[in-house]
Amino acid sequence: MANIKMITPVAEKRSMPAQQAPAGGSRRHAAWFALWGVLFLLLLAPATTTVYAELSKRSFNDNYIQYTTAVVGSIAAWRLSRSARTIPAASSMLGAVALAITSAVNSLAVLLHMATLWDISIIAMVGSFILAVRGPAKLQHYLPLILFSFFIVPDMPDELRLKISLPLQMITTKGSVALAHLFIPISSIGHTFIVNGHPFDVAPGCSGLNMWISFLFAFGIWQLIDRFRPHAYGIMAIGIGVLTMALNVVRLFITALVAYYISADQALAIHANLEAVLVPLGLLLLFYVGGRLRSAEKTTAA
Amino acid sequence: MQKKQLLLNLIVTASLAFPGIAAGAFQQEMSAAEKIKALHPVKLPAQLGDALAKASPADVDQPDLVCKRYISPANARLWAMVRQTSIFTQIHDFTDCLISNGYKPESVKRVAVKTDAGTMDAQILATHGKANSLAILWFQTGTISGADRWQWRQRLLTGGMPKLPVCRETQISLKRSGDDQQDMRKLTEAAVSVYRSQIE
Repeated sequence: MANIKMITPVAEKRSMPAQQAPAGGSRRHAAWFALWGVLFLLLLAPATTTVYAELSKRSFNDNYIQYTTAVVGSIAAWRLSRSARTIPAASSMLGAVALAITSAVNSLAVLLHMATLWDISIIAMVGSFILAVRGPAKLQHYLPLILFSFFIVPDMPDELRLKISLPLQMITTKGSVALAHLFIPISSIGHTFIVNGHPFDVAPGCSGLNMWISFLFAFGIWQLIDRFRPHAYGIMAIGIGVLTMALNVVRLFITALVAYYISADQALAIHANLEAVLVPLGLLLLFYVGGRLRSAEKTTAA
Repeated sequence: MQKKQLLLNLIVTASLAFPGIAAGAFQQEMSAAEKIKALHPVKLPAQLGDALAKASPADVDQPDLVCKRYISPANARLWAMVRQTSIFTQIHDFTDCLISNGYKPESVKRVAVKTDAGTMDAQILATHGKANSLAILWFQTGTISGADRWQWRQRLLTGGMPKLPVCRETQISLKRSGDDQQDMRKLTEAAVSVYRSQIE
């Protein structure tokens, strides 16, 4: 996994200010790091085969986010580790406590056979580890990469996916029906809208969840390159959700118009292709808003 | 080395070592069916218990399974449609799905549904390894076309299914005992019995 590379501490300890180095000298310090490196390897070794097995069962199209995350994350990890040398290091007891908690969650995931929780907790452990042994400044330096690393988790559990997609289906249906009702006769039952007697079910695939993930992924890559102000993450998280729903409402609104004025078959044919137009449009909006939230400081992963 | 730094280093070391130790310990436990039973005792709802008591061994015979849709193999989660023996014979698809996810062929072949009245569609959700549960969802399709069935399943799962008279559904779930064959037989028997109790 790409996120492992960023914890390599050997190169970093050379630049550690002497007054902040743990008592006992750098040799003893290096021994601790070697021990932790081995423990991390032992922890991750079994997971490598599991992740490979999971990814190999799926088509390339289903894995492109994971592969892209691995490649981009590896490059970012390498560049961040180089630029991290100038950042002062200091240990943090808060980080050690956080690491203990995430370690417990990871163990629980093993007990309950929850693969996704395991993946997430490992990434959280890496972040906690950096905080514990290298301090908050280093964690802040690596934080964009840690956030981006969550995209490497193979898949969202079906239960969680359905819990997110169903409200999206309902919101999208209501929004598009309300908009279309201004122009054409249209009705809806649940997440199905009816035009000219033809029912159109807004399925989970039409909920906009995939579009949402795509926009988040684009922003995830961007924040590896540009430094954002802290509040920008909250604004973008909310903004991307609103943007996704708005675009999906437009998509289904156009679908309903086509169904009314042309035919149901044409509407079904066009509704998926509309994403090819709306996603780039959404990305432009995303870049426009994100550009105004950038910090003047550039990341060194760029 | 300062005491505080030493404490921190020990906490970090223990935190990194513990998941690996725990994984080894849990792996040994999971390999023994008795330990799984102890961890996840089988608790059947009253209705299911009654249905199981009424079930006849003749209801469970030779398998006839059709892999209707194979979802999310990353989660090792399988969906299959079980139908009357006389209607479908494509057992190999579903068998492949199960075997590729770790089920033993003999346990697959013993899963069966045989009804003597009406049409029964049952969907078996077999969750392998990731969670300790198996569940079966079934409904009488009646006038529901095959094309609509997928969306019906989605609505069943999400709770958004309209309460139409044509659909009778129930969800039966029980904890895994560690014996896949036994678990799936129980689920099948229960589904058949509940189905019969509702149509008779």
